[in-house]
Amino acid sequence: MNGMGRRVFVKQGALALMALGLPPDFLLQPLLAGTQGLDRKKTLICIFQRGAVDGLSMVVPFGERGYYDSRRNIAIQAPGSGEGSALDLDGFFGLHPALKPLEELFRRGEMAIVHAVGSPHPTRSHFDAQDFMETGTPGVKSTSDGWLNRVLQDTACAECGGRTLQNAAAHAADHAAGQVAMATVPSLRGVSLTSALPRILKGGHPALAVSNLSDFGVRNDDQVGSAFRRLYRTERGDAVSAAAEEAFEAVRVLEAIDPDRYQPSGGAVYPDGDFGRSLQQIAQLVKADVGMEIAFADLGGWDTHVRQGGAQGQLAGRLGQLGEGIRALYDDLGDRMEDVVIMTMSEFGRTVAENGSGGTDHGHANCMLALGGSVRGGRILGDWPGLERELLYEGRDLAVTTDFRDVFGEVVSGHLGAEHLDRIFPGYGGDATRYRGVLG
Amino acid sequence: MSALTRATLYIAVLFLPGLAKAPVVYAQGAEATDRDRAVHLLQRATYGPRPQDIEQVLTVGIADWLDWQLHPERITDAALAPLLDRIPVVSMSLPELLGQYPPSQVLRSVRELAQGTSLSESERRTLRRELGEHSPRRILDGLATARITRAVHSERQLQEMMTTFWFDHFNVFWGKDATRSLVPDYERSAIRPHVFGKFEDMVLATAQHPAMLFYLDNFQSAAPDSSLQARERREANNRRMRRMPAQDRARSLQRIQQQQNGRRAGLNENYARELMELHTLGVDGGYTQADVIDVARILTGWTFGEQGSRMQMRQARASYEDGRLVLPEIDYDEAYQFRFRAEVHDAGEKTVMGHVFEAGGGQEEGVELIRMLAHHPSTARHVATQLATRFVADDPSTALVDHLAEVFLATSGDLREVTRALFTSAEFYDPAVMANRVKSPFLLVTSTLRMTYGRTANTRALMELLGSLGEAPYLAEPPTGYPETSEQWASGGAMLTRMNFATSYVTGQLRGVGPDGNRLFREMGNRDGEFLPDLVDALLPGADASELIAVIREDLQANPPEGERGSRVRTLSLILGSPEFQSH
Repeated sequence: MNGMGRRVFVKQGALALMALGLPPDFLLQPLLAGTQGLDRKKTLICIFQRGAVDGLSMVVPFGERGYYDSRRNIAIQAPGSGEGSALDLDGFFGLHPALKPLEELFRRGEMAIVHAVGSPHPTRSHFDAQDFMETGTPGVKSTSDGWLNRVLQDTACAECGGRTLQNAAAHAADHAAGQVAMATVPSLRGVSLTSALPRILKGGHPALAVSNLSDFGVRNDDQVGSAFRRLYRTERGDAVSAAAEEAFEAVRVLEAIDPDRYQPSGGAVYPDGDFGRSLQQIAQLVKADVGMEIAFADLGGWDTHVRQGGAQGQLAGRLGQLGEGIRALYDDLGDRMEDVVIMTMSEFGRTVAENGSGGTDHGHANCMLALGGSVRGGRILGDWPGLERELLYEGRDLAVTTDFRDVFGEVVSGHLGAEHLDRIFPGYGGDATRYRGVLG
Repeated sequence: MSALTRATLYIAVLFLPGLAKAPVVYAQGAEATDRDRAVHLLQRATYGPRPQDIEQVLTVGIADWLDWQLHPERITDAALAPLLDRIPVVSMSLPELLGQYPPSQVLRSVRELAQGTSLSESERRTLRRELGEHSPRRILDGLATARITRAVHSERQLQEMMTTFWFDHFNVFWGKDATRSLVPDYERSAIRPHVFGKFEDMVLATAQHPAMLFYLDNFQSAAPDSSLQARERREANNRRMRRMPAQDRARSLQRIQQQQNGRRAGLNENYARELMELHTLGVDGGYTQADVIDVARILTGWTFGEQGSRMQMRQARASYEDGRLVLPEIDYDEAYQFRFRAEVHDAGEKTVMGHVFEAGGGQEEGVELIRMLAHHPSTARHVATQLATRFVADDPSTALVDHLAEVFLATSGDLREVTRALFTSAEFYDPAVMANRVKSPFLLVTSTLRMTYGRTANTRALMELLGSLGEAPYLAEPPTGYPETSEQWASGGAMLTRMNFATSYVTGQLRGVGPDGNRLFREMGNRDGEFLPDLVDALLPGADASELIAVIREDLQANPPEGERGSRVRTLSLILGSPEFQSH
C-alpha cells in the first residue's frame, strides 16, 4: 500500500486524479513529511445479530451438565461425540460446528469470545433490548442518538468536523499548513450497509446508510445529474445545499470503487445473499481508504422459538452464514485486519432450557465475538456464572457478568481512540478497570 | 372579499386580546403580501399549497380558513371516504384487529403447525399462505397507506397535520410486539379525537390506552410489596420443583416462567418518566427523580386485561381442521381493556412536586395527577415550544413561546385555541421564517403527491423510501417520536435519495404511485408557449425561482430530452428534486 492509501487523500484535487487513475502521491508528499509512522486509520466493523441469538449453542459450555439436562433435543454434543459435535476451544467451551470457519482464527489467537455478556437491564423485549444496545443507555428510553454516532462525535476534529483524532498530530499539522482541504467526507466515517440508518449510528454526526454501493448515486445521472449538481450549490448557504454537496463528494469517492467489478483477495468467498454482499462491500470500503472508521451490518433470523435445531437446522444455517461471512471478510482484508476489529452483538440470549416446540425463548446473557490484529484472541473472556439452577438469572437464564458497555468501551477507546466514555455511555460510570482484556 | 376587508379581518385576528401581542418584525426590506402569507400558512398547516388552495385562502381570508380547518367535523370529505374504505384496518375495531392479526404467541402456534409433521406438504403450503394473511405487517401497510392517503387527499388538512404532530408527541413504536395490533385504535381513539380538544383528555386517553401501557411498560409496573409477594411465590415454587423428576421440573419451570414473564413484578418508571419529560412538563419542567418514583407509584396497577384472559392468550393454540386454519377464540376485547388492578397498586401516600396524594387514592389519584400535570405552567411552555419549533422555526422566538404558553394556560389547554394562536401569531408570519424549514421526509413525499395529484394505490415503495430517509410512519423507536426540528433532515445520503425520489416518481419507477401529468399540465403553457414558468409557479408558489428556471432551460438546451413528454418528465423531476422544493 502506498502512502496515499494510508493517509486520507486531499479532497478535490486528489479525487479528480483518482478518477483519472493517476497516483496523487506527489500531492501528498509535503503533507506526509513528519507524519509517517503515526498510528494509522482504524476501522471498527459491527455486526448485529438481530432477534437474539442463542449464545449457548453458538459458544457451547459443553463442560456444564446443566446444559445437557435442560436441552434434551437441541443441545450441541460435546467434542468427540461424533459428527456435529462442538469444536473444542479450551476443554470447557466449544464452537457450534457451523462456525467451523472461525475455529482457526481462534486458534491463531485472532478471535476472542466474551461470554455471559449483556445488558444490566432485565427486559426480554426485542425492541427494548435492541434499543438499549444501540443507544448504549440501558433503561433510558429517551436517548436520542446511538452510541456509535457518539463515538464519531467524540473522535471528530472540532475544527473541521472530519477525520478522527486518532491522527490528531498529523491532522493538526494539516491545519497548520493550511492544507485542510480535508480528508474524509464526514458521512463516510460511519457507514451502515442497511437501507435505513440504524439507531446505533443515528445522531449529530453525519453517517451514511447504503444497502448496496452499486446503487449509490444520482439515478438517471446522464439525464438529470449535472442539472442537480448546478442547482445545489454551496453558495446558496442553506442546509440542503451543503448536505447535497457532501453527498456529491461521497458519490465521487465511491464511484472510484466500482463495486460491480470487485474481486475479493485472499481466496475469500462470501456467502450468497445480502449479508455476504454487505460484508464484501465493507471490505471494499476499507481497502479503498475512503476514511470509514465505523461500519455496520446486520443479520436477522435468530429468534428461534420453534425448531431451532442442533448441529443442523435453523440456527445452524444462520450461524453458517455468520461464520462464512466473517471468515471471508477476514481473509479478504488480509493484512488490513491489523487495523480492523470485527465485533458481533445481539440484544439478549435465550433460555437455558429448550421449550416444548424444540426452540428457546427470550433469555438474558449472551456471547460476543471480537476479531482482528489488535484483539488478544484465543481466549474466552468474562466470568462464567454457571448453569446451576440457583445461579440462573430469574431462575431460567444465563446471568450477565459482563456489561456490554465494558466490551464496547474497551474497543472504542483502545481501538478507535475515543476518549470520553462518559459521553459515549452516559450513566455508565465504568472505566478501564472493567475492561475484559479483549485488546492486546 | 376586497383586499381591504381581508386586511382588516387579518388585523382584527392579530390583535384580538390575548392572541397576538408582539408586533410583526419584518426582515429588512421585505414585506410579506397577502399571497405570501396565504402560501406560508398552507406550506405549514397543510401538505402542500396547490393553486386552488391558495385561491381559497385568499378568498375567505386566513382567519376564516383557519376556523374552517379547526372544525374538521364541519368539513365534508367526500373524496377521501372511498379511498379509506379500501383500507380495512382503518375501520377495524381493536378486537377485530386482534382476531385477524393475532398476538405473536398465537401466530407462533400456527408456524409450529406449518413446520411440524402432523400435516401433509400441501396442507402446510395452504397454511403458510393463510399465515401471510394474518401477518401484522399488513397492519403497518394499512396504517401507512391511510396516513399518506389522508395527507394527500383529505380536505381536513390541519386535522391530519396535527394528528401526526400529536402522535409524535405521544409516540408509540409500531414494531414492539403486541403494539402492532393496537396502534390503529391508539391513533383513532386516543389521538385523533383530541387534537382540537382539551390537552388533558389526550394525556389521559394515551395513559389508559393499551398501546402506551405496553410500549412504555406501565402495564407491568407493580407496587414494591407485591414484588415481594412474587418473590415468595417464586421461592415456594422453586422448593416444590426441586422435588420433581428432572423432566417435569423443566416443563413446570418453563410454565411458571412464562406466567411470570408478563407480570414481572416491581416498580417500572419508564412511563412515569416519559409522562413528565416528554408528554407534559418537559425535561427542565422542575421535577426530580423522587417525583418520577412517586408518579410511577401512583400509576401502579394501571394496566390492561385480566390475568385470566392473558393466560388464555398464552395458552391459545391454532389448529387445522377440515382443510383450514382455525384460530383460537380469544376475548380480545377483554384482554386489552384498560383496567385498574388494585392488588398491585401502591396504596401509600405520595408527593409529586410538592403536591401530596393521600394514602388510598386508588385509580382516582392517577387521574388527578394527570390533570395536575396537564395544566402545569411547565407543560404549557413545553407544548408551546414544541409547536413553535415544529411549525415556525427550529429556534423559535421566546415571544412566540410565551404567547402560546399563555393561550394554553388561559384556555385550560384548549388545543383548538392554541393551534389558532399559533397560525395567527405575528411571529408565524415573520418573513424571516418563511421557507426556512427543511421539509421532513413525510412532508416531502406527501407534498410531492398532493401538488402533482398523485395516486396512492400502493404505498409500499413510499414506506421503504421513508424508511431510508429516516421517517417511516409509525416506526419511530424512541418515545420522543420523530424530531420537531427540521435541520437534521438535510443529510448527505438523504439528499441523494430525495433527488432520486423525484426522478423515479416522475418516471413511474415507483410501484403504485405517480403524478397525474394530464391534470398537472392542463393549465400550463400560457406564457410564450412554454410551460416551465407556469409549472414552477404552481409547484413553488412564492419562491424566487429565477435561477431554477435558468438552470432548467440551459439543461434542456444542452442535453435535449426526447420530445414533449421527455421535456415534461425532465422538468418535473428537476423541480421536485430542487432545493426550493425541499424547503417549506
